[in-house]
Amino acid sequence: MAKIIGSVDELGRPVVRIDVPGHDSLLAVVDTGFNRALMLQHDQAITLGFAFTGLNEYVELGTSSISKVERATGRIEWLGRAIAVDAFVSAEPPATHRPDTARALLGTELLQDCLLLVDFSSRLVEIETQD
Amino acid sequence: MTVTDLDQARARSNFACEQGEIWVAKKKDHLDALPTGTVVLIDIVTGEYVTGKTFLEASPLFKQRFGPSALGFVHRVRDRTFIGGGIG
Repeated sequence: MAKIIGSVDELGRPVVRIDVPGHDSLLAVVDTGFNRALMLQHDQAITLGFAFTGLNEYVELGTSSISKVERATGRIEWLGRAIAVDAFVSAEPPATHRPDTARALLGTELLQDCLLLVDFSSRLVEIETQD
Repeated sequence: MTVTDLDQARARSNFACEQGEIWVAKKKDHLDALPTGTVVLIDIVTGEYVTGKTFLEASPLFKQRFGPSALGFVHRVRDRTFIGGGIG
Protein backbone atom coordinates (compact mmCIF):
# COMPACT_ATOMS: atom_id res chain seq x y z
CA MET A 1 0.00 0.00 0.00
CA ALA A 2 1.61 3.25 -1.15
CA LYS A 3 1.33 6.41 0.90
CA ILE A 4 2.22 10.09 0.52
CA ILE A 5 2.70 12.19 3.61
CA GLY A 6 2.13 15.92 3.50
CA SER A 7 1.30 18.70 5.89
CA VAL A 8 -1.02 21.60 6.54
CA ASP A 9 0.98 24.70 5.67
CA GLU A 10 1.19 28.02 7.48
CA LEU A 11 -1.79 29.28 5.45
CA GLY A 12 -3.95 26.36 6.59
CA ARG A 13 -3.82 24.48 3.27
CA PRO A 14 -3.20 20.75 2.90
CA VAL A 15 -0.07 20.40 0.76
CA VAL A 16 1.93 17.47 -0.58
CA ARG A 17 5.21 17.25 -2.44
CA ILE A 18 5.08 15.56 -5.83
CA ASP A 19 8.22 14.20 -7.50
CA VAL A 20 8.69 14.82 -11.20
CA PRO A 21 11.13 12.39 -12.88
CA GLY A 22 14.24 14.24 -14.07
CA HIS A 23 13.12 17.57 -12.60
CA ASP A 24 12.62 19.36 -9.32
CA SER A 25 9.67 18.28 -7.21
CA LEU A 26 6.65 20.51 -6.81
CA LEU A 27 4.53 21.45 -3.84
CA ALA A 28 0.80 21.17 -4.52
CA VAL A 29 -2.29 22.15 -2.56
CA VAL A 30 -4.80 19.31 -2.26
CA ASP A 31 -7.92 20.94 -3.72
CA THR A 32 -11.00 18.75 -3.32
CA GLY A 33 -12.98 21.34 -5.29
CA PHE A 34 -10.85 20.61 -8.38
CA ASN A 35 -12.24 17.65 -10.32
CA ARG A 36 -9.23 16.97 -12.58
CA ALA A 37 -5.61 15.98 -11.90
CA LEU A 38 -3.16 18.86 -11.76
CA MET A 39 -3.11 22.62 -12.14
CA LEU A 40 0.23 24.35 -12.78
CA GLN A 41 1.46 27.87 -13.35
CA HIS A 42 2.83 28.53 -16.84
CA ASP A 43 6.47 28.89 -15.80
CA GLN A 44 6.17 25.88 -13.53
CA ALA A 45 4.90 23.68 -16.39
CA ILE A 46 7.89 24.70 -18.51
CA THR A 47 10.39 24.13 -15.69
CA LEU A 48 8.94 20.69 -14.95
CA GLY A 49 9.24 19.60 -18.58
CA PHE A 50 5.53 19.41 -19.33
CA ALA A 51 4.68 19.46 -23.05
CA PHE A 52 2.10 22.02 -24.16
CA THR A 53 -0.53 20.39 -26.37
CA GLY A 54 -1.93 23.47 -28.13
CA LEU A 55 -5.29 22.62 -26.54
CA ASN A 56 -7.26 25.09 -24.46
CA GLU A 57 -10.25 24.76 -22.19
CA TYR A 58 -12.74 26.69 -20.09
CA VAL A 59 -12.74 26.02 -16.35
CA GLU A 60 -15.14 27.17 -13.66
CA LEU A 61 -13.56 28.74 -10.60
CA GLY A 62 -14.78 28.69 -7.03
CA THR A 63 -16.24 32.15 -7.59
CA SER A 64 -18.39 30.77 -10.44
CA SER A 65 -16.40 32.86 -12.90
CA ILE A 66 -15.08 31.19 -16.04
CA SER A 67 -11.40 31.19 -16.96
CA LYS A 68 -9.41 29.89 -19.91
CA VAL A 69 -6.42 27.62 -19.48
CA GLU A 70 -3.93 25.76 -21.63
CA ARG A 71 -3.43 22.01 -21.44
CA ALA A 72 -0.10 20.22 -21.10
CA THR A 73 1.02 16.67 -20.42
CA GLY A 74 3.91 15.30 -18.40
CA ARG A 75 4.97 12.64 -15.96
CA ILE A 76 4.96 12.57 -12.17
CA GLU A 77 5.77 10.06 -9.46
CA TRP A 78 2.48 9.28 -7.80
CA LEU A 79 2.00 6.77 -4.98
CA GLY A 80 5.09 4.81 -5.96
CA ARG A 81 4.53 4.80 -9.72
CA ALA A 82 5.62 7.05 -12.58
CA ILE A 83 2.43 8.04 -14.38
CA ALA A 84 1.45 10.20 -17.34
CA VAL A 85 -0.68 13.11 -16.24
CA ASP A 86 -2.44 15.98 -17.96
CA ALA A 87 -2.28 19.40 -16.42
CA PHE A 88 -4.28 22.59 -16.64
CA VAL A 89 -1.89 25.49 -17.08
CA SER A 90 -2.70 29.03 -15.99
CA ALA A 91 -1.17 31.90 -17.91
CA GLU A 92 -1.96 34.36 -15.12
CA PRO A 93 1.13 36.08 -13.70
CA PRO A 94 2.44 34.45 -10.50
CA ALA A 95 1.37 36.16 -7.30
CA THR A 96 4.37 38.24 -6.26
CA HIS A 97 3.13 38.77 -2.70
CA ARG A 98 3.57 35.07 -1.88
CA PRO A 99 6.09 33.66 -4.33
CA ASP A 100 7.40 30.92 -2.08
CA THR A 101 4.14 29.10 -1.35
CA ALA A 102 2.59 26.09 -3.10
CA ARG A 103 1.35 27.23 -6.50
CA ALA A 104 0.13 23.96 -7.98
CA LEU A 105 -3.22 22.33 -7.28
CA LEU A 106 -3.79 18.60 -6.97
CA GLY A 107 -7.32 17.54 -7.85
CA THR A 108 -9.64 14.65 -7.13
CA GLU A 109 -8.76 12.75 -10.32
CA LEU A 110 -5.45 11.81 -8.68
CA LEU A 111 -7.28 10.78 -5.53
CA GLN A 112 -9.44 8.10 -7.14
CA ASP A 113 -9.11 4.83 -5.21
CA CYS A 114 -7.31 6.67 -2.41
CA LEU A 115 -8.00 7.59 1.16
CA LEU A 116 -7.29 11.27 1.85
CA LEU A 117 -6.76 12.15 5.48
CA VAL A 118 -6.29 15.76 6.58
CA ASP A 119 -5.69 16.16 10.29
CA PHE A 120 -5.75 19.90 10.80
CA SER A 121 -5.11 19.58 14.53
CA SER A 122 -1.74 17.88 14.01
CA ARG A 123 -1.13 19.49 10.58
CA LEU A 124 -0.78 16.09 8.93
CA VAL A 125 -1.91 15.02 5.45
CA GLU A 126 -1.93 11.42 4.23
CA ILE A 127 -2.89 10.04 0.82
CA GLU A 128 -3.00 6.28 0.68
CA THR A 129 -3.97 3.77 -2.00
CA GLN A 130 -6.93 1.56 -1.17
CA ASP A 131 -6.28 -1.32 -3.61
CA MET B 1 4.84 47.74 -23.72
CA THR B 2 6.53 44.36 -23.81
CA VAL B 3 4.55 41.34 -24.94
CA THR B 4 5.52 38.51 -22.64
CA ASP B 5 5.16 34.75 -23.03
CA LEU B 6 2.26 34.92 -20.62
CA ASP B 7 0.53 37.60 -22.73
CA GLN B 8 0.95 35.41 -25.79
CA ALA B 9 -0.32 32.33 -23.94
CA ARG B 10 -3.41 34.21 -22.75
CA ALA B 11 -4.10 35.58 -26.23
CA ARG B 12 -3.71 32.10 -27.73
CA SER B 13 -6.00 30.61 -25.13
CA ASN B 14 -8.64 33.34 -25.59
CA PHE B 15 -8.61 32.89 -29.35
CA ALA B 16 -8.77 29.09 -29.19
CA CYS B 17 -11.64 29.11 -26.71
CA GLU B 18 -13.63 31.69 -28.69
CA GLN B 19 -13.19 29.77 -31.94
CA GLY B 20 -13.84 26.47 -30.18
CA GLU B 21 -17.14 27.70 -28.81
CA ILE B 22 -18.25 28.64 -32.32
CA TRP B 23 -17.50 25.12 -33.56
CA VAL B 24 -19.27 23.56 -30.57
CA ALA B 25 -22.39 25.57 -31.40
CA LYS B 26 -22.21 24.57 -35.07
CA LYS B 27 -21.75 20.88 -34.27
CA LYS B 28 -24.04 20.78 -31.26
CA ASP B 29 -26.27 17.96 -32.52
CA HIS B 30 -23.31 15.68 -33.29
CA LEU B 31 -21.54 16.44 -30.02
CA ASP B 32 -24.67 16.03 -27.90
CA ALA B 33 -25.09 12.53 -29.31
CA LEU B 34 -21.76 11.43 -27.83
CA PRO B 35 -21.63 9.61 -24.47
CA THR B 36 -21.55 11.78 -21.36
CA GLY B 37 -18.01 12.62 -20.31
CA THR B 38 -16.52 12.17 -23.77
CA VAL B 39 -13.52 14.45 -24.28
CA VAL B 40 -13.73 16.18 -27.66
CA LEU B 41 -10.63 17.91 -29.01
CA ILE B 42 -11.53 20.32 -31.79
CA ASP B 43 -9.12 21.75 -34.35
CA ILE B 44 -10.13 25.40 -34.35
CA VAL B 45 -9.19 25.97 -38.01
CA THR B 46 -11.27 23.21 -39.59
CA GLY B 47 -13.73 22.28 -36.85
CA GLU B 48 -12.74 18.62 -37.22
CA TYR B 49 -12.31 16.74 -33.98
CA VAL B 50 -11.07 13.61 -32.26
CA THR B 51 -12.61 12.04 -29.17
CA GLY B 52 -11.55 9.93 -26.22
CA LYS B 53 -12.70 8.80 -22.82
CA THR B 54 -9.93 10.89 -21.26
CA PHE B 55 -7.76 13.83 -22.27
CA LEU B 56 -4.66 11.61 -22.14
CA GLU B 57 -6.30 9.17 -24.55
CA ALA B 58 -7.45 11.82 -27.02
CA SER B 59 -4.54 14.29 -27.07
CA PRO B 60 -2.08 12.04 -28.99
CA LEU B 61 -4.80 11.47 -31.60
CA PHE B 62 -5.25 15.24 -31.93
CA LYS B 63 -1.52 15.76 -32.45
CA GLN B 64 -1.32 12.88 -34.93
CA ARG B 65 -4.26 14.11 -37.00
CA PHE B 66 -3.77 17.87 -36.96
CA GLY B 67 -0.02 18.23 -36.42
CA PRO B 68 2.14 19.29 -33.47
CA SER B 69 1.47 23.02 -33.84
CA ALA B 70 -2.33 22.81 -34.22
CA LEU B 71 -4.38 24.97 -31.87
CA GLY B 72 -7.37 23.24 -30.34
CA PHE B 73 -10.27 23.49 -27.94
CA VAL B 74 -11.37 20.95 -25.35
CA HIS B 75 -15.10 20.26 -25.12
CA ARG B 76 -16.52 17.81 -22.59
CA VAL B 77 -19.91 16.28 -23.28
CA ARG B 78 -22.25 17.19 -20.39
CA ASP B 79 -19.25 17.60 -18.09
CA ARG B 80 -17.39 20.59 -16.67
CA THR B 81 -14.09 21.29 -14.99
CA PHE B 82 -14.19 22.95 -11.58
CA ILE B 83 -11.17 24.49 -9.91
CA GLY B 84 -12.26 25.21 -6.39
CA GLY B 85 -9.09 26.95 -5.34
CA GLY B 86 -9.13 29.51 -8.11
CA ILE B 87 -6.26 30.65 -10.27
CA GLY B 88 -3.49 33.16 -9.65
